[in-house]
Amino acid sequence: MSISIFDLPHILEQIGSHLSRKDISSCSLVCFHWNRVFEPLCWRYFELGNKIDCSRLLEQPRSLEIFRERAPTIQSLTVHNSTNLGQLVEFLQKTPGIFSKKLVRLVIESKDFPGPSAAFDVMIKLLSITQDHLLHLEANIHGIPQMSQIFDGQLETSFRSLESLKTIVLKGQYEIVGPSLAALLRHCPVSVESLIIDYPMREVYEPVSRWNIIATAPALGNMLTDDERLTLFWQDALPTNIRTLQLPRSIRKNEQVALIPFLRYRCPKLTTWEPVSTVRPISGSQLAEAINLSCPNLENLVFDGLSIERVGGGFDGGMDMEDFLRSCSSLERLETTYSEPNNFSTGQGATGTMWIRDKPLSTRQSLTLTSALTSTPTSTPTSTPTWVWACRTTLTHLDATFYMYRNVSDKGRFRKQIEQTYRKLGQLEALVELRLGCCCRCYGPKLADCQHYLYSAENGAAEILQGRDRQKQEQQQQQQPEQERGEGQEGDDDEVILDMSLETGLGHLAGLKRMRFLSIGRIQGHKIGYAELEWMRRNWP
Amino acid sequence: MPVTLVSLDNENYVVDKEVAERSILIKNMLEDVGETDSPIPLPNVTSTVLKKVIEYCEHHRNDPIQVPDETDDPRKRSNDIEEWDMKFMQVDQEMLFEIILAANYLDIKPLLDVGCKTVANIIKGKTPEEIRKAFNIVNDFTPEEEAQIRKENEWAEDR
Repeated sequence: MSISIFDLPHILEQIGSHLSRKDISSCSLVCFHWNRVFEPLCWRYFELGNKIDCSRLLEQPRSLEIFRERAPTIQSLTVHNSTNLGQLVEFLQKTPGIFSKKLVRLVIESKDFPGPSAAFDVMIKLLSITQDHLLHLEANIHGIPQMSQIFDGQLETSFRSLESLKTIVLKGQYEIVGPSLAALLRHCPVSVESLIIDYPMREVYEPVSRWNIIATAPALGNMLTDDERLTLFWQDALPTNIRTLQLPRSIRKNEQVALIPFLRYRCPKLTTWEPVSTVRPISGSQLAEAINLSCPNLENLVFDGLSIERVGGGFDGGMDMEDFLRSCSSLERLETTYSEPNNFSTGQGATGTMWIRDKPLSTRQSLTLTSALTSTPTSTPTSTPTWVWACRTTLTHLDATFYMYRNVSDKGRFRKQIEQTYRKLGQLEALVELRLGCCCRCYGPKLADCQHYLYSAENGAAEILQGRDRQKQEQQQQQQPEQERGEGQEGDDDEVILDMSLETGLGHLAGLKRMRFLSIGRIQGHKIGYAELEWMRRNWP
Repeated sequence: MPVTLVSLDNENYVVDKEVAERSILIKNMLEDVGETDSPIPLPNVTSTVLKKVIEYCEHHRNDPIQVPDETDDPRKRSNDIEEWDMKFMQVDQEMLFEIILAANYLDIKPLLDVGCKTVANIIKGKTPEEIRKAFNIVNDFTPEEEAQIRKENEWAEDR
């Protein structure tokens, strides 16, 4: 008789990988041969505490014997809280080698744990047993306990022994504090490739001087400045293999202290950071700088669920997304989404967060420039700083929101600023998808405030209203050569559409040969009217 | 460039290289010998099975190469089978096993995986006795042994 699939253990194993424990258990009872294959699989994904009660395990010698026998076949261990879990953990600690190298995954489920500290403690203890063969660590712990020096020390020791760990996922709903985050970032094992810390951050600002984990050298502690203490804390931090990173939402000043050195010293391979939330403006540029200098491979930067920043921030306080465009040279994807899109329709969303606010920035700059030169007339080409975006050859996806600075004294120059931005957009040669989120695009007397724009856009003309209905436009751009076409057209149409600020820009965008998707102004709209659409239809096949 | 595959019973099948290379075994062979017109013998596969396998490879010729699931997370594993694959696998048990063996031999991972999923679906929810019956397997345990294993497994079972 020829060979049967059941003679091949690896096929049986693969079949087993699609079966539940119950089915695997049935399979192990089929015959001797199946038993040899399936029995180890029974315990492959072992859950402790949820269904298997620790006290039962400990109290029955026979069970303990079986456990001891089977423990080496465990590949994934999930631990829930359970009576006598502490004792069992102790037993495990006293039985070195009870788990084999097969154990590659440790999950702590904390819904029944009395508190984050207890769960965290179990995690640390179990980590000390699994040591260097563990590849994946996942902890769904309510919160990360507030770090004390002892905790910090434990974390450091246990993380240091994890030499093969590839992924860390820490998740929960309770707010964590800056020092806890700092400790995790500081001690993250070098081998880790993916780090996910998904917690909300506590909003309370806690000055670094109160971070108890940092003043490790008490003799010096009080004499050092915060900066020096931080330097000490990050001293000897080794680079990790982290490629994908997810950190708590709402990174504020407090956490930036942890974040920026982390990026600087520990993330040389970072390619994806998603999602990133609220970053304080002052640190926005620091962040961009840290990324630029230390994370040369960053390709995906996705801001998600941005919201009004309640601490500080404010209208002009939002981070300037352009910082990233300007300085991150390998960026492929820069995207933003908002958690409270409604705010935008009222103009309120402007308060606080982070967009490419090209023109506020540039305006502000040229304003200072102007005042220095004692008011140059509009017509003179006041040297608008012509930056080139560092990512112009790599960026394929851009989803951003433009916001305008409110106080404009020089409309002509301001208009140039707008155009300048479009020009820069037009230089993004690899761009495939462009979404210019919202906020108004007009200038001139209407600038008074955002609300105003909204109405003014609607007051504009029936055409514009129609245009707004069609704002979402998908276009297949063909290999039509080039810029000249765009530019030529722009000149021609200048009179007609100049007023629509986008038009000064649309021409610039015509050089983007790879663009497949363009979505404009879904919420508050770049001012794009019917005429532009017509123009696009005609000139942008 | 077309490639000629020869089955156990000497049937020739001409397929596109791209299709043939769904099989890692054939891909490696082609890489080793370089450009060649000589037919590739597949002495472990009968023509009926080979025909089936080619049908599969044709349909999946443009699929991205499967990345092994490194995380090995039980919760992320999906037991879904694509509709086309499901239909494709509606064959008698003998054929199903033959396909799995061929996929194993030819090293066509996605096909092997679909095959294993199909077998797993047969096993699901069955008692040991029903499984034996389904696959015609002889029970070689003594009742005592069976009871013993049952007891040990109890630990790991969902309750």
